[in-house]
Amino acid sequence: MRSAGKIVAVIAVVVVAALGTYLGLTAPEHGLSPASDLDSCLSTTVEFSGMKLNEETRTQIVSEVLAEITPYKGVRYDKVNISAMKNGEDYGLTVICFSDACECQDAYVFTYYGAGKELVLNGHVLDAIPAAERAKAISVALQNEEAASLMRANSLETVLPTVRRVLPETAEKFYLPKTLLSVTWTRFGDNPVVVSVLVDPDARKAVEVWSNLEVENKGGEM
Amino acid sequence: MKKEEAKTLVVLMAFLLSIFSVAAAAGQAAPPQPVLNLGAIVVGLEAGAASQASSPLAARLEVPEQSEEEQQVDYKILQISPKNEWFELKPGGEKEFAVRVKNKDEGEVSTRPRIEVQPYGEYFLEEEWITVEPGSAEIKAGEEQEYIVTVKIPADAEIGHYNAQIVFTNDTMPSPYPAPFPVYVNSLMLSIQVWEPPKILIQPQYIHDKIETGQSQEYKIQLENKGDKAIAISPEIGGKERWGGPFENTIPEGWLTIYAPAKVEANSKATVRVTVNVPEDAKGRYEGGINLNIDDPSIERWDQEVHLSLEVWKQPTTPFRESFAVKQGEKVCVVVTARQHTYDKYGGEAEEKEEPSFNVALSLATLEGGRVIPEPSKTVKKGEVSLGMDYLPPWEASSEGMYHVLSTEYSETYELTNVTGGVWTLEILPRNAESFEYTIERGE
Repeated sequence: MRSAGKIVAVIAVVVVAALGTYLGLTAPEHGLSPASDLDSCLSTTVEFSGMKLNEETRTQIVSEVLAEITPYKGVRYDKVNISAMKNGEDYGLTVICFSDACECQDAYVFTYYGAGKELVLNGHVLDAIPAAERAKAISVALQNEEAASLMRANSLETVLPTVRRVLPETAEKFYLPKTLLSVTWTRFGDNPVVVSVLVDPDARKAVEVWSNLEVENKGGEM
Repeated sequence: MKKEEAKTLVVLMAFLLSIFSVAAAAGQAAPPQPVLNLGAIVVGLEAGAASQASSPLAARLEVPEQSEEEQQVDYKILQISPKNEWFELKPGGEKEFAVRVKNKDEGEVSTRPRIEVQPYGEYFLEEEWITVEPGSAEIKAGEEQEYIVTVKIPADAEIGHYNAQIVFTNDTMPSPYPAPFPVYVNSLMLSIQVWEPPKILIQPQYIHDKIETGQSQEYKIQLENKGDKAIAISPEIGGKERWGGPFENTIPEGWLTIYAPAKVEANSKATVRVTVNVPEDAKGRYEGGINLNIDDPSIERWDQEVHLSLEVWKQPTTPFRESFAVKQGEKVCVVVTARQHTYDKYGGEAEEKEEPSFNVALSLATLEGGRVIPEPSKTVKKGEVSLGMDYLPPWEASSEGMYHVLSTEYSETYELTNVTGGVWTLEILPRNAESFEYTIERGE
């Protein structure tokens, strides 16, 4: 029994490592070139929290999740925390990815359908961006006249913006199918104000500006 | 009578015409206005000249004569695409791009591309860095010529912005005033950013904090040298370039103390410690910065700055007071609430902040001891969590459905039963609260 357990454990490690290698080699950032750290997931620590799962399901989930997540170019995930909640035969998964190079984390929410052994991504918030890239994106966004004017008008200068990764499939709807950065200033409260600038980090230019105030005023209301 | 009226009318008309003619002639004497007219610049006010010619009664004014050349300057206009080109190259890097030049004129145009270095800017591009092929070409009317421009940056080029013009013909824009340098009509503006990936990483570049008066706080700026040589640093107070300073309320230098090593060793990390000591009399928002003075040319000046934004607040020492009347034997219920807004934490995690709390007292002059300090009978923590698009730009729709903690509300309930009648005073001394609300309920 002991040796059988060991074999299962070794197989699990090999599967995870193989998928990690696969992810590192094949998950292209921008769809143009492989991630710069080819060993990106080999040294990733995967932690599991939440409900206890049997070894097979757990291994399956880990390998499926690692195949789905990709860090920002030049970044590797040092730790991936998977939190699972059972819902009938299925599992709700919250995956938080940490990188030593980034202050913030990437968060993904998946559903793992037990019957079909299928993983479906429900949402993600990708904040794990190196400080230098964040600073550049903010700098580009601040140079946009429209955004600067909206910020001045709404006293957003002192609000710390968020910088989030926008994946190529989303970016395509607004600009080009490549990784973009969303720089967003939000002031909460009874009358929240949001100003967001979509930035092309390679061309160092703002490609679109959005504000919730513009949306609210579209009906002609003041 | 009729003859006299006619004479008067003629004299009046002649007078008016002469006024108009003088005005027109004066207009002609003004600096010539260039008018672009299909490849030719026509200088002069034609309307003024016309009115002068058609007026036999006009008074003649002596104006300086203009030569034929001055009145009509001919030059060829070529359609150049792109007209501006910008890109980044590393030292030792090379880039090639095509330029299409179309002759929209009626005659043949002779082109001989050359590099014109702009006599301004921080760095000057060397002519040898750029080659244009072919070296010359005759472009017939309506035809197009493609040029290949090759830019080679030497390995020892300095990091910075470089500008130059690729000039296809010697035609310059005429100027009525002396110009410091010629403006070439048929040219392409080339801007090159020579860069290198920074060898040193700075984390964080923006520090925002709320700090109480009279308190001190230490902030750590982590520097990581990814290069194979040690990099000298010399942090100092300053750094207003990047963040749009000077600021209305600058952090006084006396508040800040910087502890930093003299260098960051190769392939290692170092920490710059910034201690902020806020005096008792400070209040409000203060901005400032640290210029890290990193000896690494790959980092631009403004990228070496860490911005400090501090909200200085003062813990109140005297409580807020509100009086209210109570009938004998009534029950009094006081609820005090404070709300904290949390920012940008997903996955159900809230930002770590010290929770608000309150020192509550109720006083009545006729009461023995005068004052009651009640314990809260109930404490409530209430959260506001968003799942939707209310606060998200359309390109962040991927996070729709994920939990986003917007705010957390803390409330404390204090209850007194069978209260002595009279005018009571509620006292609330808040801690860690930007604002608070209260309700006072009285009844059976």
